[in-house]
Amino acid sequence: MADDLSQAEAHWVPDRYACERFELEAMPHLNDIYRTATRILGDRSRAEDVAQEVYLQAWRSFERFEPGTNCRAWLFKILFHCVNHHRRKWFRFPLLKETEEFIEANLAAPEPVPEHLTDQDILAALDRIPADFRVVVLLVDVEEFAYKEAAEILSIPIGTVMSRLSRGRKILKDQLADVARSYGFGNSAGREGL
Amino acid sequence: MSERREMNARLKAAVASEQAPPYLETRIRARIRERRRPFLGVAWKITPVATALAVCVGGVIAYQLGHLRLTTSSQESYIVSVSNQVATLMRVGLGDHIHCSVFRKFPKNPPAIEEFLTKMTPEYAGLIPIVRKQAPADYRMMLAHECRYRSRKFVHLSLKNESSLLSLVITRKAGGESFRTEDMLPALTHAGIPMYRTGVQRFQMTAFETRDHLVYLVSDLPKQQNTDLMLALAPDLDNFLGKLEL
Repeated sequence: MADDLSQAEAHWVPDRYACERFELEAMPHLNDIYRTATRILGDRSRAEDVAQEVYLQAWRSFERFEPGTNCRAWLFKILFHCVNHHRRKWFRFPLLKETEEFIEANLAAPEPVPEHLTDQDILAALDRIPADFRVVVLLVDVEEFAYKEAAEILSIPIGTVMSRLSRGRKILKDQLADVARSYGFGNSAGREGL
Repeated sequence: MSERREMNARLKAAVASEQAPPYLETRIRARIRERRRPFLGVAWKITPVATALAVCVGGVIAYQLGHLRLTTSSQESYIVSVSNQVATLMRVGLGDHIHCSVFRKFPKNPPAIEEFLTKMTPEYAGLIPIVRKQAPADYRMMLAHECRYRSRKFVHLSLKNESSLLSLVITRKAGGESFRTEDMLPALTHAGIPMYRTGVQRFQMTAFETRDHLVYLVSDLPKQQNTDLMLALAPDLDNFLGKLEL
């Protein structure tokens, strides 16, 4: 999990060294932060603002960042802190109760998804997953964080991560199957899988 | 299992198709450059507190030293607190100097000497040329008048330069006042005139007496400069006042 930093780098050195370390450790993850923000917020402009805020907050508190730990996970934690801060201002995420209702309504028998779907179809389907489940799918399946890391980033129990991931994947698959059907691909086509 | 791996791969590829716009990275770096200050760390965080504390402490010290006394009662309390630290007869001159000069806002352009002359009775107007002759060249006369403080009449001349304020304060003796009866020892004798000296806070005082007058030079000059100026003034002043007392 932790980046492999040398012993010398493991000590906090302010000013120019801090700039270099920040450049080396934090900046390479900008694309990941931006992409995840875009998928969570559904708006590129807001995602840019949030990504910028994440990096400014990270810079402000970089002296507290412990060298040798996972900078990427630390940035994602800041990202979700920023998102939680802004979502009340910008829009409301579906509450969990609504999410549960959504699942009940959508947990039809899963169908395989055809390979003919485009990236845009997949993203559109991903965006239709309720936010609580979507973020777990993004963290675990897309960004490849371990359950434990995702739990720490989202400040939720690991069991909740696992259950939300399971449900999120299921909903995604169903969404994709719906899209496939709308294109005229039946169950037989769907068996080709993604 | 393989189906899920495939779905994850497609999902990752789809999400990865979104790239952060190039200007975002530039913008973030620019904003970070503007905010290098956080690395001053604790010092930066406590600066506002330290500044506020310094202002408070500075304010208290300034108040103790007689500044920021905006009301008459606070000015009087300061005069009392300072005067209590010097001999009784020295308080007479010190009190008038603080009351009349220290707490006065002098105009940027003081009146001409001719105007001062009109404010003095003919009896004491001759003091102005004596003081002008002996005062250092960079001092301007800011005030020359006859005033009353705590029911006592004074002849008061104030001079000022960029950094110092000084007053020549003269008053008639009352009720057998004398430095000698105060059990004060003269610090020195100049031209046969015993000189008395004291200092409190930033004020330095040198004084002498004639038969009927008490004469004080009060200033925020260094002790020796204050004394030297009074030594320069004393013979002429003693002579001038001696003629009045005939």
